[in-house]
Amino acid sequence: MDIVALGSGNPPLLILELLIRLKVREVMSTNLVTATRRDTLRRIQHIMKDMRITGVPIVEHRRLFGLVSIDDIINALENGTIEDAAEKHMSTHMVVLDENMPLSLAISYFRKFSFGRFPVLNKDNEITGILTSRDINVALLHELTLELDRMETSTVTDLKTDDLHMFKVYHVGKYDFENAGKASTDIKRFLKNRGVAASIIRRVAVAAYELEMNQVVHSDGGTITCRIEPEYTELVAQDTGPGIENVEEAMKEGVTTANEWIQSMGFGAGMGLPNARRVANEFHIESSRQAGTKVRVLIRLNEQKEDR
Amino acid sequence: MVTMQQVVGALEGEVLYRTKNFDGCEVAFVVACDLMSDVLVVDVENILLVTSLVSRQSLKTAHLVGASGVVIVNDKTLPDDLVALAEELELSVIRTPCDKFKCCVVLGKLLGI
Repeated sequence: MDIVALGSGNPPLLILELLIRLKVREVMSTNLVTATRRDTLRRIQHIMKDMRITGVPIVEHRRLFGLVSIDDIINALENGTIEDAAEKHMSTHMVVLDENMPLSLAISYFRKFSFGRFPVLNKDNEITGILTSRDINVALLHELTLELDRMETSTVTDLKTDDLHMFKVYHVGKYDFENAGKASTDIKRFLKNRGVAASIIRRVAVAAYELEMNQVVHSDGGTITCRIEPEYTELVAQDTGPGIENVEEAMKEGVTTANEWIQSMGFGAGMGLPNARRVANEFHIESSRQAGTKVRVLIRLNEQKEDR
Repeated sequence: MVTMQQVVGALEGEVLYRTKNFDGCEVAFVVACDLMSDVLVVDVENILLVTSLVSRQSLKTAHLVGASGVVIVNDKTLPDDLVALAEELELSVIRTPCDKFKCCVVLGKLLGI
């Protein structure tokens, strides 16, 4: 499907999905300004001027007979036929859109034909609206704004998940004990549905929970990116700061910088990072004042950890 | 192994949330802890978590380690939102008038330790 009208290259999946999901009837203008076959081109010229539009469909009883564009008006002015009735000079060879067409198809019409607007008909061939490229821009901007709002307020962004694979980013807020554990619960449920062994699910859940709690308790907020493939689960925790002063020290069991309030909630025992490392097949941590802390944990799904 | 029903009886407990498979749930190990990080270190099946910490975290932690249930000691009860969470997580929760030590002694005898 040709969607070059939106710029070259591959448009993001989100836009592709929008273009297919949105139907012409949801995007078109329904405030129709029309004229009849007997109206003079002069009158239509005035309508265009008053309403600031460049095309007027000629409609009677919701039936479309033709279209008078600004080009037709210019020709009429040049040829001295401006006082003639519309039906004499209107364009009758028109390309129309079905109101149930996906927007992606409508956009290909804009590229294929050099018209600035397309009348839209319903299944009874009655005119229900008119579609211009401005309508498309406005609708896309509106939908993208809604989508951005959703992404900003949601705690999880699903990048690509099916039955076997999961690729999600969970957003973790500082001191957000209410939502802490959402990622681990979600990941656990997915692995359970996939039929992974209970002991391995527990290791993944524990690692995810420890990484989540670490961000809730110690960081300024961050993300947990979970990628589940058939053979392994990879968790990457990246926070925005403030960084761990002494990583080696933080990896020792029982070493904690948590305050009493956090400990009163059952956390901050200084077991988080060592415990995440304990359940992992691969564990990597890096931390700095500038870049915050990044922890990567990999757990293989089809074998027991050998050195346990 | 003992059943959850046996645990309730021995502890003179009250079931605050009963999962659908409550009768089929069994307990092989008891983890008595108020520090949830320590619970996450445990690596066995059929755990019963005994705790005096009534919080979302205690339920979530029990759920994550796949515990058979949670016992809340000292006759503490669950607020409504935590009962809802137990339901969401499909996790049985029992309360008992025993304090944590007595609870452990009773469960130890029950398990023949």
